[in-house]
Amino acid sequence: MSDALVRFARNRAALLAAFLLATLALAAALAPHLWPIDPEAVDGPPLLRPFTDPAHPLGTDRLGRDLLARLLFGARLSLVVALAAAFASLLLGSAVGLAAGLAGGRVDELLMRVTDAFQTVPGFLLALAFVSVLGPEAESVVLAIAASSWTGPARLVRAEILSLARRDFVLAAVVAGLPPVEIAWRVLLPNALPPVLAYAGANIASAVLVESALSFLGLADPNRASWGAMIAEGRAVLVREPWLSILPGLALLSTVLAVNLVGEGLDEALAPRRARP
Amino acid sequence: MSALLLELRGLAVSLPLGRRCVPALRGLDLELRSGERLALLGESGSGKSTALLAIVGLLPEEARIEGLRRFPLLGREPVPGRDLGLVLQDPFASLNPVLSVGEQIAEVLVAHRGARWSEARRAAVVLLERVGIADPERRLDDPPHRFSGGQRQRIAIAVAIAAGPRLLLADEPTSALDTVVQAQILDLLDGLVREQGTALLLVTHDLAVAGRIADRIAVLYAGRLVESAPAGRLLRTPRHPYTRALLATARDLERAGAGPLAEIAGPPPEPAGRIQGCAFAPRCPLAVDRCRRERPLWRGDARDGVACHAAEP
Amino acid sequence: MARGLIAGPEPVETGDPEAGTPPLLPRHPALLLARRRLAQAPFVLLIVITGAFLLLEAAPGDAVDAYLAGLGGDAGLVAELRERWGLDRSAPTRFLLYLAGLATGDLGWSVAFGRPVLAVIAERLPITLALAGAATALAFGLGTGLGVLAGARPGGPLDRLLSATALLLNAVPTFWLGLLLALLFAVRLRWLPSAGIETIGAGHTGLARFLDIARHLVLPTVTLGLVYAALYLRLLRAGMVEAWRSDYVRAARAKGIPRRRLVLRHVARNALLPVVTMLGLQSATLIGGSVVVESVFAVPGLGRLAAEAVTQRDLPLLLGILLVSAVLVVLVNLLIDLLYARLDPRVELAARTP
Repeated sequence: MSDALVRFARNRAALLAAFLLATLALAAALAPHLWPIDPEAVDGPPLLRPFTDPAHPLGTDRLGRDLLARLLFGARLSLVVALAAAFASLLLGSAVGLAAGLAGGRVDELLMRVTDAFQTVPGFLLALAFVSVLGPEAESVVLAIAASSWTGPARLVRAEILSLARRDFVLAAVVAGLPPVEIAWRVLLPNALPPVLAYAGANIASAVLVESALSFLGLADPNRASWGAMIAEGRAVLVREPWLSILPGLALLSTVLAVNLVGEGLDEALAPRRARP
Repeated sequence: MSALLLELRGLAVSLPLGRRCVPALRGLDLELRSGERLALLGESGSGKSTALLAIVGLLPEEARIEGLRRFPLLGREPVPGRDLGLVLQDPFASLNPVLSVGEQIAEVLVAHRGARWSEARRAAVVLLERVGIADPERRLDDPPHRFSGGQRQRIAIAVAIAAGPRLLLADEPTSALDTVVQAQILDLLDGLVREQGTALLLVTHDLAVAGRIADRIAVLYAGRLVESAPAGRLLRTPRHPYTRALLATARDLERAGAGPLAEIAGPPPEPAGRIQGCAFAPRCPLAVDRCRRERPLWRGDARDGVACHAAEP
Repeated sequence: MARGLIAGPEPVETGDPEAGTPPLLPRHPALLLARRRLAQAPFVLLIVITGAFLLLEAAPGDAVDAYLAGLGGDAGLVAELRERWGLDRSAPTRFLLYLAGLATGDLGWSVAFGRPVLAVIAERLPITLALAGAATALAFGLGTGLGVLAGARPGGPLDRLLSATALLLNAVPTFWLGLLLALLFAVRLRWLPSAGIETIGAGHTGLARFLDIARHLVLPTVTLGLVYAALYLRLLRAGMVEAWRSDYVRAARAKGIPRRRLVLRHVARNALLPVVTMLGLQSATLIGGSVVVESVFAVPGLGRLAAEAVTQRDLPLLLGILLVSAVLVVLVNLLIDLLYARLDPRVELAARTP
């Protein structure tokens, strides 16, 4: 595990991205202390340009609310929802993949057909359907995103389990008489996890994008500042004051880019390409 | 003696491995005459495959190459495919899986003999037949996976000789095949090079293979040449202790059940780093102090010689 | 020559695979069998339908409420309709009725539009098909074309530029990209229209109308297609890097064939296969992407309809769109399977193996 970290550290882009993400997460977590302006408070003149007033470094929106505060609080929502959704998706997917891989036979077939079914429906439409039924609160958004993205981890875990099950150390555990639950927990899972963790990057990135798309369409919680909603709000004044939409978009872009880079860095670090002889 | 086709002087190659650069070949002198069959014999890590790739010019870009490589008979740099043909070890990996075998043979002819595709296809049928593929007309458009390992190697040979190269290089062409098929492929190679007067440079770790097909055998150890001689003489009276040990193990394997197997004691040489004295000294039954201090120089000429303090040239 | 070291007679190898068994072949990773997928499709669709049914049940109200939503009606009418439509029966019966309805093309009643769901969908479907089709074509063409250029010299300047651009595009939110493109091309440069599917009130017909619609679809197509183009570019390039290291490319280089042929016919040709597979996998995501793109550009397609269905709380419509999309995805994947089988000769071997 440690040499994987060393390999990761050598990837400068990934390292920078990880640093960026950490900074972002910290800033989002400490938002109220770092920049103690209420993102919902009408604090200044509307449509103030960025970099003109030190009291509002990034300007204000149509209602006069401080943009920097809204960006920071939007970060909170996006990150929390994305992480929660990715985690739920990984959990659900791993459970299904594990069950399918271990059970085999008819159970495996059935679970794989269900996975197929979830993959056949466009993920975003499925998220829309869940939001429609469950409502626009953050929790339902998390569930909706998880429901639309668990199939990737499921297939990955199942494939890993299937290939691992034939390996010697697993057979040794079986022969040694370990109960199946213990085999699954202590032998299979630790080995099946690394590729899934590498996939987590893609999962989180996609969750961020889906959440922002949902809030852009006005389908997520309207009471909280979120980057997607900010972009939608900025649409009305896009021609004259484009930065209202550009800034949150840049924030989204940087976050997703950083997550992608870290994810890919992890992927390469955990499964290095074999050197050509 | 026939014309000098290939000449290597002091060929040294270092390959990057992770952070470091590992010497794969530490200085190779070799010569090959037109129509001659030379076997480069050695275990894995001896540098034999690296030498082959260096001759063809297929080493990775990051490799560091020193020394001389000349083709006196050609008088110019060789054109791969036209002057040189290459057959690789793994028949399941050396043919493009999505193209038909006919196309893979024909493209050599189109590239080097100026043939049109229709002519090249007809020639490909003839080539397939020559290498022993039955029903070549029908099988011309088959993809590689429809053929067995032995057949794929035959096809690879057809590809390599299609443009009539002066030199055919083969990197362990039979190692991935079972013994019965091995013999067939070697006979095929034998017949083909004899027929066309092609020179053959065959890399192998198997003494039997070398003995079966080569006129001369050159033995490599840890990136250097340790002995070179006409095949018959080398196999009857080897001079270098490493060659003797190889022969002993091969003989023992053949005579199954006749007592304990001879073996070469000690670990194989570490690829990286400098070697003090003779590389084989740690495993040599004849090693003396001098062997560990002083690297034995080559005694003899480019075709016949040995590098050992204890041996007579 | 010392030949006596290999003992035994030399049998003649026949032209057929040894011992009558099929040649050893490492299991091909993409065992796409159109037949198998075709056989599974009904089952998969059944699961989707079941899921839709469960969602419908989970939501408050039922089809009668939806039907009468705008019309109003007394309890007697509600009860009568419930009985007529079998909605007062048990859940399994309702499910079967639902299935039967689907079979006859009855996807339910749209609350928001006051019309059958199928009719509403049918109007919007061609537009989304056109958009999705064009976007896929753009994504594939641009992605593989540029991917080949990048993969021809991995690590070279063009590769670094293209890969960095693709990395960036992969991270861009589609709706934001659409807004930016609209801002640049429609507002500032005035080259293209920024919304709608055709110029209202212009009264074009025939070819003129076609061109008008095409003009309106340029920006949405580019928005939707660019993000996937980036994906395919990276995938193709990665495949080519992998192929460059393979034995068969090394052997091909030793053949001295012209570089262009080497890059296209040997390296890229093999790298194309995973991209084609990805086309199928991404077809579902692409339809999902059309939701935001159509919303940004006010294109009256299925995607925008879905967004409207959520805001209008029209669950039957939304689920109808879901089902239609699922069917589309299955069909597209079948086509992709057939295409893949044509590109990769190893697939037929997999089909023969039991």
